[in-house]
Amino acid sequence: MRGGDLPRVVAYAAIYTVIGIGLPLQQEAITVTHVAGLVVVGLLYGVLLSFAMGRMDVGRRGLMMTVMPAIFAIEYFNPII
Amino acid sequence: MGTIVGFLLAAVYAIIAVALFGSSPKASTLGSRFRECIGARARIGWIWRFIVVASSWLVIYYAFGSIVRPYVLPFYEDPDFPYQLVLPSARIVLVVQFIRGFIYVGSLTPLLVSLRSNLKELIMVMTGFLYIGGGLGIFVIVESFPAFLRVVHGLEIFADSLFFGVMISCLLRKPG
Repeated sequence: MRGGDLPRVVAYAAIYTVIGIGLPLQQEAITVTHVAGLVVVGLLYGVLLSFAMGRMDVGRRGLMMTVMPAIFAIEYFNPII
Repeated sequence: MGTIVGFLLAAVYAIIAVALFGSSPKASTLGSRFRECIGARARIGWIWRFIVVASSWLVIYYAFGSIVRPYVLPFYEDPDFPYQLVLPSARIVLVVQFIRGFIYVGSLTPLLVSLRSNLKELIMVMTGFLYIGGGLGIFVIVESFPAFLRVVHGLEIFADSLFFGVMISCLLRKPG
């Protein structure tokens, strides 16, 4: 993780958790364990994003339009395939 | 409907990730990085590597699936098991996992191209995104699934992700 990125990682985990709780695809009941799971996954994503994006040599447009959507889509391919 | 929402969410997460972590302006564009990589090897060299990596997912999936099969199969075959797990036919699994290998390569290649990292870091990043996006989320969050199955399938997916991360990083990174 890049130095000084901890607040960004926490912010990412918070956003991931809020979206996860309100996710329309959600079929499970929201419990403390469920929220804790979302927080853990959000934090891991945040740390990985901080690590990876510090090593990327591509402009913001390429990242926003191609690289990152393709990566996040992996999570949504799996229920289909 | 769920798929469309999922892909919209992927776009939303991309915007959030870039807004939070995409700080300093970079000299390269994704197109220039792709051209740089493609030019570093003969076309035929990339084609066979792409096919070998995408096809390797099927081998990796079956290898680790076979290891966990004796432990998870009773849950799939138990008619009284409340989660109604279904084991698809071998033909369906073969076709679906073959396609999945190509989808994974397609999803990870832009990331691989955009990174300036050594092999060890590439493997870590590839494995990390595959594992977190490809299974950890599901097995951590869906708590109604039995803990034993979550642990066994979670380990299986980690092994799948690690071996596929090694394959894609070793064979599809820019040489030199």
